[in-house]
Amino acid sequence: MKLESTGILIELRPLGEHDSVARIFTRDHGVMCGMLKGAQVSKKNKSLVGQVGNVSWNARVDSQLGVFHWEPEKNLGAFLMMNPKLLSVMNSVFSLIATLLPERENYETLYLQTENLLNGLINQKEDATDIYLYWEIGLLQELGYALDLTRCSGCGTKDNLNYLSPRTGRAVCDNCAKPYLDKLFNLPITVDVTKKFLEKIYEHQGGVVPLSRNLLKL
Amino acid sequence: MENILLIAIMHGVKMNSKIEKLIKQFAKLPRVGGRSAQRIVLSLLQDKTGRASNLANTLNDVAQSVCPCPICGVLMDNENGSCEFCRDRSRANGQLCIVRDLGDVWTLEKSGIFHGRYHILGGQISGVSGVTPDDLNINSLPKRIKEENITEIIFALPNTVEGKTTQHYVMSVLGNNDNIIFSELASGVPLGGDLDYLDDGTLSLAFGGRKKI
Repeated sequence: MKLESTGILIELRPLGEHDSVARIFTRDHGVMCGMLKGAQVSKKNKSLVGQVGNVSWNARVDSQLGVFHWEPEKNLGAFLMMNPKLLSVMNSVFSLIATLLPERENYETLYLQTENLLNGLINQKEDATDIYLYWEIGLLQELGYALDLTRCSGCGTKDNLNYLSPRTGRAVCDNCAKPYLDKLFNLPITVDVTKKFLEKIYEHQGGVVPLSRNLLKL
Repeated sequence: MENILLIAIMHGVKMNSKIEKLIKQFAKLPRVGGRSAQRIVLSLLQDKTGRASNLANTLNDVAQSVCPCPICGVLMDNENGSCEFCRDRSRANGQLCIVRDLGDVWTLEKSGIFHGRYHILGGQISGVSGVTPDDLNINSLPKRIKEENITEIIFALPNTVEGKTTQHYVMSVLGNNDNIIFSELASGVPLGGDLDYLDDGTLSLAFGGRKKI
C-alpha cells in the first residue's frame, strides 16, 4: 500500500539509535505516522521538525506503522527557531495537531491554514497573535466547536454582542447575557478563550492541554 | 573455539542461564545488539588474564563512587564534593556554557576551545518525550550566576526545535540582566562543506549570521 502527498513534519520521536517515528501532517491524508529510517544519523537532507516537503508512505498492509520516504523542500522551522515568540507559536500548533487530530482523516482546509500560518509568521506582515488566533479558531471548527460570532444565540440580534457562550460557542448579546455573566466569556475572542475550549476537548478525550500550548508566548 | 560457541548460541543451543542473563544485559547497552553482546561475553569469559573480574570490579567501583556534581551536573567522584571543572579556579573566568548532557561537555573538552565552566541541563524541553522544565536542572542557575559572578552565558544546545525552545525558556527564567551577555553557537556552513549540500534553512541562518571581514 502506498500513499503520497505533500506535508509538514510535525513530530520526530527517536526509535532505537538510528531511526525515528515521524508524524507528518499531510494535505490529502491528514496526520500520518510512520518510520523514518536513519533519521537520527543522516548527515545529508536531515529530517527536521518544521520542514515542508513531499512524502510517500509504504506498508504491506494498511494497519502497519509503515515507512516514510521524506523529501524536504523547505525548512520553515529554521526561519522561526530564532524568535522565541514565533517558535512558541509553531510548537503549540504542532503539538495541538499531533494530539487532537485523528490519523488518516483528511483536514485539507486546516492543512492549508497551517501552511498559511507558517508562511505568515515568516513574512511577519500580520501580527503573530492574530495569525495564531485565526488558526486556532479554524482548528476548533474542524473539531466540532465552530464559533459563531455573527448573531446572539438567545435572541438572534446582531448588535451588542459582547459575550461568548462556553457551551455552544455562540455569541451572546448584553441583554441575554445578564443572568449568566459569571459563566460567559468576554468578547473579543482571545487565545485564553480558545484555550478554554481546548481544555474542554482534551477533558473529553481524557488528556490535558500540551505543554507547548501552555508555554505559548503571545 | 569462539566461532563454534557463537554458532551454537546463534542456532538456539541451550546455554547457561547466567551467561544468557549477562548477554541480555550487554545487549541493552547503546550500539550493542544481540550478536555483539554474545561476542563481548565470549571474549570476556575466555580471557585468561582476568579481564572479566577487572571489568566487574571497575564497574562496581564506578557505579558506587561516581555521582553528578551538585553544582553543574558533570559526573564526579563523590569524595570530592564537586567536579574538577567547579574546583578549578582558572575556569572561573565568568563564562558559563549551558549544554544538554555530559556527552556535550566531553565533546567541547576534546576540542579544547572552551575554558570556562559548564552547566548540564540533563535534557531538553520536549512535549513529545514529555520532558518539562521541572525535569531539567534550570532552577539552580540564577543562584549559580549570582554566586560565581557569571558575565557570559553561552548556549551550546542542539540546533533543533527542542534545543531552541529550551534555550528561550532558560533565557526567560533568567530574565533581562544587563550585566550578563547571552550568546549561542553560530550556525551555518560546516568546515569543508559545499553550498550544494546545504538546505535552505541552514543557508538562511548562514546568511543571517554573516560577519564583516
